[in-house]
Amino acid sequence: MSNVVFSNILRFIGLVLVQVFIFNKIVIGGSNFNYVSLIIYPLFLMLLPLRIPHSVLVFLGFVIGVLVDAFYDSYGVHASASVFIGFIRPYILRLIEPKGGYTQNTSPTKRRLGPSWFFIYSAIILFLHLFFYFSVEAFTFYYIGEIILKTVSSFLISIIIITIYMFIFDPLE
Amino acid sequence: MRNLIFLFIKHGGFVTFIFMEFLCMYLVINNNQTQRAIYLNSLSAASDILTEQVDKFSQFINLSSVADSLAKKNAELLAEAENAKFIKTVLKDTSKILETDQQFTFTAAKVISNSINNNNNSLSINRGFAHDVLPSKGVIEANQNGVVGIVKSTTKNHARVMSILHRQTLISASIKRNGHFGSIVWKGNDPKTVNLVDIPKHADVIIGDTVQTSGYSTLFPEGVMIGVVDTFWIPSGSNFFDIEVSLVNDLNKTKYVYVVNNLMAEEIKQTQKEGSNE
Repeated sequence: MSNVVFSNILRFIGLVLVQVFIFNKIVIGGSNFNYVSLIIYPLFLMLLPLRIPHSVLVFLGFVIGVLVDAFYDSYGVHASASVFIGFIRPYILRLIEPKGGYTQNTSPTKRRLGPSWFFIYSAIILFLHLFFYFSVEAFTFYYIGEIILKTVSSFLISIIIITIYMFIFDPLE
Repeated sequence: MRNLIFLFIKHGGFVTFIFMEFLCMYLVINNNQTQRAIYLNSLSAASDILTEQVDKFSQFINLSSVADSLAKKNAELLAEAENAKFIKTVLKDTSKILETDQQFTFTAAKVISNSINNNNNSLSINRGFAHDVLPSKGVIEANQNGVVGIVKSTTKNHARVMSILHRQTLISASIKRNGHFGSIVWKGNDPKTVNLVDIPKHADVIIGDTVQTSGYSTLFPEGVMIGVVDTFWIPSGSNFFDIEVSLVNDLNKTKYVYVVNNLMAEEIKQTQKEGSNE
């Protein structure tokens, strides 16, 4: 129990630090193609335990989002996307539930549920997160083409980094 | 209380989500210039649309009072028309300017009940003797575009009008083109058609002739259109035409009517009475 809490706190701190001090500074594409943002902190929300209450999940989404926002100087934009992810995670888990169902009191990790399942899971959540994030950033669907371009290009790079992360650390909880 | 909090934590996901999203949007709008500008712009656009819709709706609500005031204005204009005046000047060679007296005025009224399907039809209007609407005054449509009937009885604020679609209604009418006059009666079947009788058979009548009020009665000013000649024939052994006139107005749709006040009615009646006493 305390092991789960501890590893999640550690992951929270680590992901936020990496996100705001490393990936925030990396610029891909230069000024001509400013469409790529490296976003990996939703991984924290993906890996929270299965039995976490829904409202707590939403609240934690808000906490990590606001923290990232503080460093991106964009109050509320990241937060709204991660709140959305916190809200929608249980429905996605139900949608892609494996045949045997989930084991009680575990986290949805690669080691528990397999690499292909986890890839689909993280891809869905990351894509939704990015789409929501860029929509709120634009704050209008007038630039829907640009929103989709940003979402797809950021998604392709970020999903690679998340997959590499899972293969390197491969956490149980 | 404790249980309530646990219940909320377990099942309050959606509420938390909505609350948190509102909080996020509040943060976004208050801390980011671009989003703030878009938000304010959209807000004003949305409020414009809303205001416009509310405006349209309230205009619609006000329509009936607008119609009332228009009907009143129309009555005033009808009194200005040429056939509402009595020409005072005796025409001489040098006289160019006609001096006139007001002969007819009009009182606008709204129809509050109506019928067209009976043998004898009547309608009620919302003006009575308090508004100088008295029995045996004529009632016409707007723009002198059709005759409605004759006032039969009044109360303080309401009046009963014997419709032109009433078997006892008798209205003096003439054919506009040649001036032959007769009477309009209704035979009680088609609410779109009345009969013009007593036109002598030497008159030349053609289909499409305009039939209007003759001005020989005190009820209506001259020249109020009644309808057009639809069909006509001469019954065997008769010296008079039987003419079917299709009404210009649809009595079933009548909403606003104008009661005709003939200011010289008493005088005319007096004259006619003296004439018949001789």
